[in-house]
Amino acid sequence: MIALKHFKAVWNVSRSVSGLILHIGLVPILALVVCLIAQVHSYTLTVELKYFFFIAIVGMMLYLIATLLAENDLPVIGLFRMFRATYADFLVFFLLYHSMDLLMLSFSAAFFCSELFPTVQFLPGLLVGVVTFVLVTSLLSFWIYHNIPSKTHRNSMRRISPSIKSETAAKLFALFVGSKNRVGIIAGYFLPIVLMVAWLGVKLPTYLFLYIALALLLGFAEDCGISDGYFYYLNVLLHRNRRVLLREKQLIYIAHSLAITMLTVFSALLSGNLRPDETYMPIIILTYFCILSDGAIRYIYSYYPNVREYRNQITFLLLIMFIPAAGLLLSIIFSIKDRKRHVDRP
Amino acid sequence: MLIVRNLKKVYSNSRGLYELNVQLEPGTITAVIGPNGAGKSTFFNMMNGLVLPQSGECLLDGTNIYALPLDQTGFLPEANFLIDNFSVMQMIEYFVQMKSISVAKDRIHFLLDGFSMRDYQNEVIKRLSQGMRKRVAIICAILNVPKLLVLDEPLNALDIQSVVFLKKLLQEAKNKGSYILLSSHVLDFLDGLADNVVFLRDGKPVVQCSCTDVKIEELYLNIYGVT
Repeated sequence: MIALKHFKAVWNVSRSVSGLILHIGLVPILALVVCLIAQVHSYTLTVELKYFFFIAIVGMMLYLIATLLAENDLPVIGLFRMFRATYADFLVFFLLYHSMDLLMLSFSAAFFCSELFPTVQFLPGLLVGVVTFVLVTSLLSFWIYHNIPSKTHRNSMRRISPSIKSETAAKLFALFVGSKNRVGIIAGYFLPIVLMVAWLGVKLPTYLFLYIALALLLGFAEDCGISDGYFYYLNVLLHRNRRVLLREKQLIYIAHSLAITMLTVFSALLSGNLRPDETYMPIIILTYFCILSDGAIRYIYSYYPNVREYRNQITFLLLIMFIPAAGLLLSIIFSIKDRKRHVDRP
Repeated sequence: MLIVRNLKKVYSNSRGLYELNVQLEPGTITAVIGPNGAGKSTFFNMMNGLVLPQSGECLLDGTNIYALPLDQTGFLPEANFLIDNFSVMQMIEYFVQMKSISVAKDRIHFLLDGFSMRDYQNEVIKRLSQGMRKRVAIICAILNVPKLLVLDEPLNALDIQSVVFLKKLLQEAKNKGSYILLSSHVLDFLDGLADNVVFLRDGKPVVQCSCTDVKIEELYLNIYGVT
């Protein structure tokens, strides 16, 4: 079967765990862990936060679908065609490729649904979630199997970008549409916030708005490819050599880590000062941690496909993971302090 | 014998390919020529499986080409199909594994040297120029000298040194009895190399003939009336 052969070949070729992680995705795996932790510790969530998570999950699902349809898997799909893949190959490929995403989304959806609606049971919810996503993937695979050769979004993007001569225009292009697809951004970030604001109106507390705005800004920036786009801009327009480019990219990632850490600590402080009765911060912080770790692995992998070079960068990997880890620790301490204060309170 | 029988694929805008019939002998190079939109890429995409035909069939020694083992086929589509995050060497290894072929290291080094890609073997595909990607794609297609070799616009973005080396590789495949189909707008390249030529216009074959004793450019001028 071509799909299984493909995974085996990728594993053999990359000869590293990161290759497989890159294919499966670290965020879903770690997010699943976060959900499990939340389930085990039975964190109390505010209604607003439950809604937020619930809508974020819908957004992620839409984002996943958009990604499936528009961009990420296109070269592999082309190869599959040449290797005479059947519909079954496509189905197995997508189910395996997105297995952790699907499981994580099903798990999260079931978890938050059971939290949100007392009548919904967790396990049946999980089952419904898994079945739904398998069906969605089957339909998508079917659609892609019959339509994908006409999809040239990725190529057209590549054709457009080098034609931009103005530096400002190139920067803007790189910032907003350079490296990711617009459908995904709209589905993943704009739609949830529009839905949420429409659903909840102005009843949300100010700090939550602030938090969501920051989170969305960060997510939006990440997905619009501020870093990717920036380096694309440098690479194409300034023709920097690889070493300079690499050093700058390392700096950007460290700055990015610091920004995320500050954001998480800031959120923890906000929750500690304004809503000391809430204990959901570890979930948020862990999610950030997951996103950052995923970004770091992908960054390292994309720059160092050669195993030996990759190993040489472990120190750097540890460094950029240490910063958010320190932030995570601080935030957990804040949260525990908050909880104690809440428990001590009459 | 490679037999293309009543092959047809018409798109919603009435473009595509209408009922193509071709018969090719082993160890021959066949050039498919025509202006833009003549149906060349549709034909090649059907040969390499990217587009499925509405009717007709392609048989190689009696076997449908879609049922041929992967090690007997080599395709170069016009569009980029390489995996961005792989290095050149990883991409080659990936093809070796997917096709279940055994290729000697010497052969890989010979191809890399011939296309001046030895120094870039650990470079990631996404950082290569268009011409270099094309060279990698050709290497992947021609790794084990397949029985059926289909190259869609192989000269696009290639430098002169690579063109000369490609010509050598095609001669090698021809001598080993491969069926080779290629399209190109560079008629000089095809002169003396192609044994047969198929001229297409508006999705239909205009002329099919042997071109061993005649210059393709002259045929082209006669058919399309370019002055």
